Formats: sequence, structure tokens, C-alpha cells
Amino acid sequence: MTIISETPTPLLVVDDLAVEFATSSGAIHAVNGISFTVAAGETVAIVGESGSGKSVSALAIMGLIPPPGHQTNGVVRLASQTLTDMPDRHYRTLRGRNIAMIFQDPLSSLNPAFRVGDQIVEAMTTHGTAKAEARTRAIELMESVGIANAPRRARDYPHQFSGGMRQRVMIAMAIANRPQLLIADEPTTALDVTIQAQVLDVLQAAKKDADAALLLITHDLGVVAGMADRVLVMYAGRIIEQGSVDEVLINPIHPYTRGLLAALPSLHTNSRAPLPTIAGVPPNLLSDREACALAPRCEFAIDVCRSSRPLLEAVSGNQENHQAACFRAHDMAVLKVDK
Amino acid sequence: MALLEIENLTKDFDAPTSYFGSGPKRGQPGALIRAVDDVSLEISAGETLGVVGESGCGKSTLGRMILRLIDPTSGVIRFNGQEIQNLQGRALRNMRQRIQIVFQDPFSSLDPRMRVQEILAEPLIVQGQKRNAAKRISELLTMVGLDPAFGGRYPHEFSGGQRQRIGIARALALNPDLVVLDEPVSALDVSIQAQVLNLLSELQNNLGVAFLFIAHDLAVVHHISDRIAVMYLGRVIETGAANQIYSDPQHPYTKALLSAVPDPNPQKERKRERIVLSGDLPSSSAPPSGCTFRTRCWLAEDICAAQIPLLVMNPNGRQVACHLVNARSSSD
Repeated sequence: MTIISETPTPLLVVDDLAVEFATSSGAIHAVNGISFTVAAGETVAIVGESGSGKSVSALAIMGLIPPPGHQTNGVVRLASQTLTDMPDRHYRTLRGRNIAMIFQDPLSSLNPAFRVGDQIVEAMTTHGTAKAEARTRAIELMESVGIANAPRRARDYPHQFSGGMRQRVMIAMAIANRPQLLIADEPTTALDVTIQAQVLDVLQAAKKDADAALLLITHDLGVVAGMADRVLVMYAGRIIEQGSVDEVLINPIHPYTRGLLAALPSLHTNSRAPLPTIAGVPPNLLSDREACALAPRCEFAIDVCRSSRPLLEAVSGNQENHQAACFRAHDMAVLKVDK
Repeated sequence: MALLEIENLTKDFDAPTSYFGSGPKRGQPGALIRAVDDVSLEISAGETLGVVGESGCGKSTLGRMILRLIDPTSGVIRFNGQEIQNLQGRALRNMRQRIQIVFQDPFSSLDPRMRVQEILAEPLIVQGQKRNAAKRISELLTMVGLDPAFGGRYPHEFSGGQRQRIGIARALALNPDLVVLDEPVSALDVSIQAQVLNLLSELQNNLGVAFLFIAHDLAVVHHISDRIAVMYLGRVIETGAANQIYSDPQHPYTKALLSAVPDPNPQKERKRERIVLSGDLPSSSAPPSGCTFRTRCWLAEDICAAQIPLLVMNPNGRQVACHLVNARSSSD
């Protein structure tokens, strides 16, 4: 599989990654050979619906796939190091220092029994920072993510913070060691929309401050539009479209990407007309048939879609590495989006 | 006459006390949490009233009080002209034939040990309409787009979207006049959410049922609602026709709320004018004096701390609970 990249040396390289979960009814192919890169300082979003494999891909990069899952194929490289098959002991020194992750639910990812400040300090002392220095920096970090009265708040426990403030603590902890790569998995999904706006601003600033790249996992196309440089759309464990946010969200090619965008109700117009929908439901991932996974739900499907699998290929006439995995990509490019 | 009229509805909850007995004592400040504060609303037959607001604004408590799943502390709920806030026993049961609810979580709101046909038969049995139940159940399943042959299956055999259809079928089993929909699509993926929203619109057109649609997703509420009520910290702060509120919001909170929604079109998103609110929602056990939004409002003046703004129809024909908006429009 070829690696697509605009920069000569990408920070993160994911090559042909596959993850399976062993269940009593057989192996679930959660991620099915995905390849992508993230350049230093870049923000790449992975979007998709539940079960599309976006979170599992992120966990695979962190080396944290929960059992009974395991990586069955592919290589993950960060800068010059190969992460795949790296011994646990070695991986641990990278997590939190070179790659840091921000999870959806800050209440379950912070330890309820320890003061918030101590948890940020621990993130640094684990990687060799002296305790006194870490304490000063923890307060600075809390201030930088907009927590007022940081010296006093550092002595509070997670339950004393609101959801938005907890997520700020998580962001402070994630950038504590100035990682090269931040992975944020649905960082604002649990938050209200006005708090989401605050936290996304903080995340953007923290990323710049730490000079890190950001891999943003989300189902919210609005968040993608505001945050990302490039976007990967996943469906049934595969990337089905990728490119710059403008290309993919304004001129989507794949019928699934188009369907997702069309199915979103608009904030500005209310025609009361039925929303366009994608009929049916996503496939179960037990079998991995040689066919386009969307074919049973796709109004554009033709015979070839049901008998072989489309590869991710450049969309004709594009300038920005816009790729789609669709046999009818050329027809779709002609068919304009009416939005 | 409106189908449902709510007047000055208020609900206080006791604040949680800790296991060791600390926390505010009964009668002390902070001992009560006012979840819904002096709310008055109307719903006409066949219309959809959308209620929006962030976590803790009281929108779900409001919905539950209408069904009398929670008893109001004070205020009046009138349904078809009859006061229902004190109904008991048989009268309450009769009223509940006419008002039903669909819950957010399609997983926990269906009994995992009951077959779909049993789930749908239950409202019919409770209300003594067992005759022709089998026929009604297959009718209901067809109506919500499920195969009547699925009646023998259990909830776990269905996807989230299909389960929500079962929840909707159960709510419609008794031909109610009003259905309270409490975040009915927020657990669903976008493509499935659109299917369920279309189903709801279609059912409303065919059956003439009124909806109270509670949700935090502003675009979803706009799509489905005729009228909107915006809630903040237990109070309705703005209400009006959906298109009017979305195209020309009046209350500063409504403006901030709408401006915080990101646009999926990256070019529009970059140009979006945003009002970023500072701070968090104040605690509803110790709300700010006067206007509860003033602590986050960039326009707040002295009067906002002194007086609670009332939701009144201002000379521009808009109902807004804001001293400044209402003063401005009366001087126009």
C-alpha cells in the first residue's frame, strides 16, 4: 500500500493497520487495513459513526487496544521509531511524553482519589521532571488552559470540577510533556455546546503552545470543519474518503460522505422537508466480503460494487490529494452536491 | 384553547446530602435545588414545541412533570382544559392514555426480558384495550417502519435506531394527543438520526399528534419544531416561532447558544461570528440574584442583578425574558 503524504517526513505513519476482536461468534474486523500520515503540527480528523473503527485506530496508535482485540497487521511509526511490536516497557516511556491522549469522558479518565494538581505533576515526574519544577509547571499549565485560581484549584479533586473544567485539566495533563502528537477522542462530545466552544479554543491553543500535531477523533462534522486541516472518513473499518477539510466537506465524492452531510439538519434553514437519509444500517464486521461495505445502502451501487472492493484512489481533477474509495468516483465528481 | 397549558410551573428538589450528613440542612439556603422555575408554556393540538437548553436547565424535569412522573412543587398543568397536576388513581391513568413519552436511551428504556410484542401490548393491557391487541401491534410496527414479523424478538436483537422505533411505537399504542420526546435521537448516529426524525414528522402528519421535543442539539430542534422555548437554569428565557428564533434570536443567551454551534462547511465555519461565553453554568441551588444569566452575560447592567426579568411579549411581538432587550424594544 502506498503512503500518501505532502511532507517529506511525516511525524506519524500508519501503514496498513488492521485490528481484530475475537468474539464467540468469530473475529470482528474493527479496522481493516488503513493507512495515513500526520505531519508535524498538522491537525487530522478521523470521522465516522459508531463502530466505524475510528477510536480503535487511535487506541492502536497508543498501543492500548483492549483485549480481546489485537493488531493483526500493519505498522505504526512515530518520527523515527516503530511503535508496533515495541516492548511494553519502552512504549510506556513514549506515552504521555511523545504521544498523549485526551479521552471523551474526563470523569473516568482522572483518578477520583487524587488531587488534580498532583495528577498533572505525576504526568511529568513519571518522565523524569524534578518534583519542584513539575509543581510550578502544573500551575502554569492550569492557568494556560484557563482555570482560574490555579494554585488553589490544583488542590481540588476531580469531582469538584465541572465537565468543561475537567476536560481542561485533561488537556493540561496531555501537553505537560510537550508531546509531538496529541490524540483527542471525542474530546467535547460529553459537553454542552457553549462549553464545547470554550474547550475547543483551549485545545487549539494548547496544541500550538506545545507545537504538537493533533489527531482528532469525532463524529461531529462541525467540529472537524473548525479544527482540522485534513480529514479521513471511515466506514466499516476502512478509510473511504480523505483530503483537505475544504475538499472533503465542500466537494465530497463518496456517497457515504455525501449522505452524512446531507443527513445533518441545518441550523439556518428549516424547510420542513424530509432529511435525505442513508437507508439501512452499517454492516456487522464479522465477515469481510470482497465488496464495497456501503453497497447495500448505496443508491449509486452497480454490480462491480457488490463483487469487488474499491481502493482509495485520487479523485480526478483534484489538487489537494483528495482520495475516495468508490467505483463510481468519476460519476460522482460530475454529480454536483446540491447543498 | 391550547391542548396543553402550563402556568407558573415550579419544581424544587432537595439538595443531595452526603452520607455523613454534611451539607445544607432543610430550610437553610442551598437545601433546595430549583430545577424548574415559574415556567408557563402552551402546546396546540398537532404542533411541535421544541425545548432547548444545556444540561441542568430543567428541560427533562419539565417534560416529566407534564406526564406526572414527577410532581410539581407549584403551578398548574391543564390538559384539554382539565387541571391534571393533582390527579390521582384512575383519573391519572386515564390522563396518561392521552400523554405518552419516548426516552433518550433506547437500551435502558425497553425491558430486555420482554419480546417486542409484549412491550407494545403493555400499554394496551394497562388501559384495558386487550381486544385486537395482536392486530394493533402489527399495525404499530408497520407504522414505525419495522417488519411485523419482528414482534417475537427481544430488544437486544435490534440496533439503536430500531429500538428507538419500538419506543415510539409503544408511545403511540394508545393514540395519544401529546408525546413528550426527551432527547429521542441524541444516542443515535447521524444517518440513523435522520431516519428517526423523518419518521416522527411523518407520524405527526398522519396522526395529528402534538410533540414536546426536548433536545440539546439546536439543529435537530430547529428541523422538527414549529415553536421553540429556550431554557436557562430552570426558566424559559425566550420563546417564539422556530424560524424567528433561529434567524433573529433576541436574548443574549439564545444568541450565544446559536453562535456556539460549529458549521460543517469549513468556509462558513471560518467566517462564523462567535460569542464565547465565559464561565460555567451557576449552581441551581444558589442561583445568582435577578437574571440568572447575568454572570455570563456580556451586556449585564445593574438592573439585571436587582430584578428577575419576566418573559413578556415585547412591543416587537417577541417573548424574551431580558431587561435590556425589552427596554430597547419599547423605546423603539
